[in-house]
Amino acid sequence: MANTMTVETTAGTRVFKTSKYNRREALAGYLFISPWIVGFLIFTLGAMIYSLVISFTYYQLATNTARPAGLANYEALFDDPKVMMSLGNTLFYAVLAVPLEIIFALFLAMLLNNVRRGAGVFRTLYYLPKMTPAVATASVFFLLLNGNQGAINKGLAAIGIQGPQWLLDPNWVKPSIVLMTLWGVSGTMVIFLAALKTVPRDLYEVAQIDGAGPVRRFFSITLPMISGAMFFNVIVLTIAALQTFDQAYLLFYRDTGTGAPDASLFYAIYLFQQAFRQFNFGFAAAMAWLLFLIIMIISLVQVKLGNRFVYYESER
Amino acid sequence: MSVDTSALAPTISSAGKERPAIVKPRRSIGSILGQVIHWIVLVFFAALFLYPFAWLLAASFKPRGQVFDNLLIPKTFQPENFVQVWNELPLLAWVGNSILIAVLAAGFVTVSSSLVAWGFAYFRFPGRGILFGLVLATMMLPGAVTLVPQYLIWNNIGLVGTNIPLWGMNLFGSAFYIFLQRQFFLGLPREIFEAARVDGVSYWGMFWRMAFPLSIPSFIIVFLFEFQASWNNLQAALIYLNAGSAEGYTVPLGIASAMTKYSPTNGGHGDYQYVMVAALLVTLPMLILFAFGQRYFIEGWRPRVARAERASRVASAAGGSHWERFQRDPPACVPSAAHSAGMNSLHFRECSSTPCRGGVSEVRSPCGMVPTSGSRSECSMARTPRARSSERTFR
Amino acid sequence: MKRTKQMLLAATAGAALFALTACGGGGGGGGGTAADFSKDYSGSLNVWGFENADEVGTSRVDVADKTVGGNDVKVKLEAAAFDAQKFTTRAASGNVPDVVQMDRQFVATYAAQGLVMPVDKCFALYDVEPREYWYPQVIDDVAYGGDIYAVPQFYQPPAILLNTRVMDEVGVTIDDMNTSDQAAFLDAVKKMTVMDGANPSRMGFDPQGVSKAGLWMLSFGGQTIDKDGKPALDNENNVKAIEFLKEIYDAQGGYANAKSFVDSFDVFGDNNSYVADQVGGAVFDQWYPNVLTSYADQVQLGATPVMTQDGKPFTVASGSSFVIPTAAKNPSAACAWLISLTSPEAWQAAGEARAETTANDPGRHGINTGLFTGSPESDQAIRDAYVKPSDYPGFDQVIDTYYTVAANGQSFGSSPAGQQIQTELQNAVTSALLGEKAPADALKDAQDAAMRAYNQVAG
Repeated sequence: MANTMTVETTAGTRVFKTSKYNRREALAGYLFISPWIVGFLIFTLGAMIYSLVISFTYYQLATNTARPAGLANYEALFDDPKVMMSLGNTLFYAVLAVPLEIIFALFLAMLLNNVRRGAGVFRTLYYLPKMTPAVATASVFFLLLNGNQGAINKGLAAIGIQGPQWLLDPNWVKPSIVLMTLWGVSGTMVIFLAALKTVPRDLYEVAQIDGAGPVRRFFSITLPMISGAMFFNVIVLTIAALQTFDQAYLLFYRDTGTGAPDASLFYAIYLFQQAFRQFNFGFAAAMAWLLFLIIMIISLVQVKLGNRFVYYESER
Repeated sequence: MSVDTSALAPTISSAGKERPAIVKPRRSIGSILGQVIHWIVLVFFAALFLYPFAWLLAASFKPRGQVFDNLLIPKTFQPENFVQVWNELPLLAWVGNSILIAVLAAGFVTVSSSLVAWGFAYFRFPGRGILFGLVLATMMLPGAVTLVPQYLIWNNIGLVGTNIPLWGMNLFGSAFYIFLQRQFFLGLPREIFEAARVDGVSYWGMFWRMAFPLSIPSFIIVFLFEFQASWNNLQAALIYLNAGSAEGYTVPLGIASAMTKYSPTNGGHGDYQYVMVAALLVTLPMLILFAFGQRYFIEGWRPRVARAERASRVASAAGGSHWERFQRDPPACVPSAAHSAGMNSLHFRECSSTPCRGGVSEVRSPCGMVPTSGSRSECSMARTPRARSSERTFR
Repeated sequence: MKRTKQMLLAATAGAALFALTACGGGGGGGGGTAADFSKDYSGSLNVWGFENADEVGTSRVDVADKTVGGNDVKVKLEAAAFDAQKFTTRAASGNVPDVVQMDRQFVATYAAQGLVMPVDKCFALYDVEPREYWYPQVIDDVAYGGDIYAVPQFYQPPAILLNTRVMDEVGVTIDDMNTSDQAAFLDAVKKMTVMDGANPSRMGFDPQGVSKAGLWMLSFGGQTIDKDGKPALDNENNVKAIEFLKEIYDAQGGYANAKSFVDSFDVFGDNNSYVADQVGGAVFDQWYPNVLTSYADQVQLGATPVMTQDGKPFTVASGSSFVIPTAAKNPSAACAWLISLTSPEAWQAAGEARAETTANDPGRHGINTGLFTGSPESDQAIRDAYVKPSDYPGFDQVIDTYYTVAANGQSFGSSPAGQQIQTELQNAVTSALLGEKAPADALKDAQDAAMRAYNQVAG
C-alpha cells in the first residue's frame, strides 16, 4: 500500500504538474481516438437517435417510407400481450439461468483450482464447449434433448427417471436452454479461476489455524476475495441472459413451418421477428427501448448492490 | 477430442505457477479419500463436457436410422455422409466467408481499438475523461437498441446482402477492446515514450514502432476473442446475409439453413446425421484455433479480472471524474502469456517501482518489455538513465 | 451514491444530445404501376427461387426456355429458396429478379404492398382463362382485391395415408377412419396406438395437427381468413377442430410425447414410419406416396380423404406460384416464360419425364403416382397417359383417392397478412395442444396478434 502511494506521488509530480494541455499533443490524441468518435457518432449515437425517431413512425421497408405513428408503437407494447409474455419468459429465464451459471461456474473453477496434477488438461477439456459455435451446440442438443429417443432421457431412464419432453413441454423449454447454457459455462469459469488464483494462500492458512472449517473459509475468505469477479460475471451474464437469442432461435424459431410453444418466446426473439420477419421497424425500435430501460434499471440495481457487497482491495 | 492437449498442458501449468503447499499433506485415509472423490468429480464433469462432442462425432458417421441409438461407436460406419454433405452444401464457401469475415473483423478491431486505446492512454486532451467514460458506457448498451437503425443505415447505403456490415463497424474500435488495450498501454512505462519524444520520434512513430510491437500479446488476445465472436455470430448473419445467396452465408447461418433443409418438418428428410457432419466440420476450425491459441483464450482472462473489477466500477461512475484515480491505479499485469509469445530476444524490464495488480503470486512479474533488436531510437530510449536503473535482461 | 448521480448525469446529457440532434427519417420511393405485357420482348430473364429442380422441373424449364429462346432471351435461374426478408430488402433496393417463385400464401402480402404486379393482362395476352385452366381454388389463393397476382403451379392435396397392415392387425377398417364420425375415429386411433410408458411406440394416427391445422379447421367448417382478407382465427368451428386434434393426441400420450416420437421418424429412409409400422395413419400431401413407391414391397397402404362434418371428402389447396415483381426489368419475357412453364405442353413434357424415371428406376416398382399440376386439364392428361394400374393395388387405391379429393379442394383465402396469420395459427395450435392455453383462448390471442399484423400491413 505504502509502495503504491510513493508511485503516485512521484508519477504525480512528473506527469501532472504540466496542467496546461499541449495543443499538438491534444490534437494528436483526438486524431488517435477519432475512429471511435466517428463510429460512436454514426453507429451508436446516430443509431440511437435514428432508433428513437423511427419508434414514433410506421416504417415501411419495402418502400423506404415512414409515416408518423405518434405514441402508437409504445402503446402497442402494452396492448400486445406477446411483449409482456416474452418479457416474462426472458426474466424468468434470467432468474433461473444466472444464479445456476454462477454456482456451476464457481464450483467448476474451485474444482480446477484445487487440482495439482493435470490441471492444464482438465482446464482445456472444460473450456472446449466455449469454443463450440452455438449452431453446433444447438443442433446436437436438439437431438440429445429429444423426449423419446434422446440420450439425456435414455440416460435418465437408465437410472429410473422418466425424463420430460424437454423441447416441447412448456415447463421444460426454459430449463432446456439453461442446460445448454450451463454446458457452455466455461467462459465464466475461467474468470472465476483467474480470480481464485489471486486469493492469497496464507489467508486460508491463518483461518485454518483459527479453526475455520471449509464452509466457513469459503464464505469468509473465498467469496469476499473473488467478489469483484463475481460482480463482473453477474452483470455480464444478466445482460446476456436478457438478450438470449441464438439457442431459442435455433431450436424453436429457425423453422417457420412449425409452431413454437409460447414458453420459448424470448424478448430478443420477438424483437427479431417484429423487425426482420414482419418488418415492423417502428414497433421493434420501441421494443428495443423498453429493453434498454429494463437493462439499465437492472444494471443500476446490481451496481448499487455490488457497491455494498463487493470487496475492493484498494479501498482498504 | 481431436485437440492434442498433452503437448500444450505444460505451458499452461507453468504459466500459472504452482504454489508450494502450505499445510504439509498428511497422508491420512480421509485425505486420500478426498483426493479420490475430487478426481472422480473432475473426470465426471470432463466426461459430461466431452459427451456431446463424442455423440456428435459418432452421429456424423451413422446412417440415418441409427442416429438415435446413442452409441458412441457407430454400428454401421458410414463415412459417405461427409461426401454427401460436401456435395449438397457449399461448406467450403461458408468456411471461406466466415474466415474472411472473422479475419477482417478481428484484424480491424484490433488495429482500430489499439489506436483509440493509445489515444486515451498516452495523450492528454480536454474531455478525455468524459469521452473515455462514454466508451465504457457503450459497453452497457444492449445491442438490441441499435439493431434496427444499424440495419437501416446499411440498407440505405445498399450494403445489406454483402458481408460488409459484419465487419465494417469494427473499423471504429470496440469499447471492450479499447479498454483492454488501454490497460495494457498503461502498463508500459511512460518514461520510455517521453524519452523517445525528446529523441524526436513522432506520435505516430511512438505508436507504430514502439507501443504496437510491445503490445503484441494483448493484440493476440483481442484478435482471438473477436475472431471467435465473429465466427459464432448468428444474428448478424441472419439479418445481413439472409438476403444474399447461399454461397455468401457464414458458417452459423449455413448450419442453421442446413438444420432447416434437413428438418423433417419442412419437407426435408430428417437427415440429422448430415447436420451433425456440418456441425462437426464447422466446429473443427475453432478447435484447431483453440489448440494453437488456448493459452490466450484461457489465460487471456487473467488480466481481465482486474479489469473486470474496474470496468464495473468505472461503468458505474460513467461520468469520468474517477479518471485520475483510475489512471493512478496500478495497471493490470501484462498477460502471463507474454512470456511465451515467442519473443526470445526481449529485455524484460522489471518495474519494481510500479507493481502490477496481478496478485500475490506474481509479485515479480514483468510489466514492460523493450525489444533490443528494434529500431535505433527504441534502443537508445531504452537506455535512458531512468529506465536503466531498474533494467535487467532475461534471456 | 455519488457514482449513481454521475451516471444519471451522463444519461441526462446523452438524452439532451438526442433532443438537440434528432432528425427526421424516411425517404422517397414507392411502388410502380403494372406494366403492359407484350409478345415483343428480348434481353435476359432472371428467375429466383426455382429450387429442388427434379426431372419434372427441368423438363418444364426446358420447354419454357425454348419458348423465350425464340426471342433470344437468356434465362438465369437462381436456385436459392425464397425468403421473405430477402425479397423485401431486394424490393426495397430495386434490385429484383424478373420472376420469383414463392408459396401461394405470401402472394397477397406483396400484392397489398404493391411489390408484385397483377398478371391478368399476361393471361389475356396469351388467351389463358385462369379460372378454367387452373382449379378455381388455386386461383383464389393468388387473387387479391379482384386481380390475380401470380401464376400458380402444383396442387398438393393432403389426405389420410393409411397403414393397412396395422389396421388389419387390430381390425380397423377404412370406414372407421372417417373424420366426420369423431367418436368412431378416436376409437379406431386408440385401437391402433401402442404405448410404451407415457410415450407412443406406434401412433394410431398422426394428424400433423400444427402444420395441417388449417386443413382441420376448414374441414370443420371454420376459416382462417375471411372473404375480405382479414384474419378469422377465432371462428368457433376452429375451436372445435383444435379440441378434436387435442383428443387425438391425448389418446396417444399427448402432443409433446407424440411430436417427439414423430420427430424421430426416418421419413425418407429405409425405416420410415410405414415400413416400421410406427403409424396406423397420418395426414400427408400427395408427394409422400411417391416417396413410398421405393418401399412398395415393405408397406401396405391405403388412403381416405379428410371429411367435412357432413361427411363429404375435403382438402385444401396448397402449392407454389410465380410472381413478377413490380420493379422487374423484363416483365414481358417473364410473362411469356411463365405461361410456357405452366402450359399443357410443359406439363406434358414433365409427365413424360416422370414416366421415364418410373420405367427406368426399378426402385419405383413401376408405380407412377401422377402429377398434381394445379390445372385439372393437365392433371387429367397426365393421368390418362401415364398413370396405369400397378402390381400394388394399395398404391392404386391411394393414387385414386388423391385424384378424387383434389376436385374437392377449398382455398384458405388470401390476405395481406397471410404469412402472419399462418404463423399465429401454428403457434396457437401448438400452445393449445401442449395445454399452455385453452383452445378458445389460444385462438383468441392469435386472432388479436394476426389482426395487429393485418392492420400494420393494410392500415
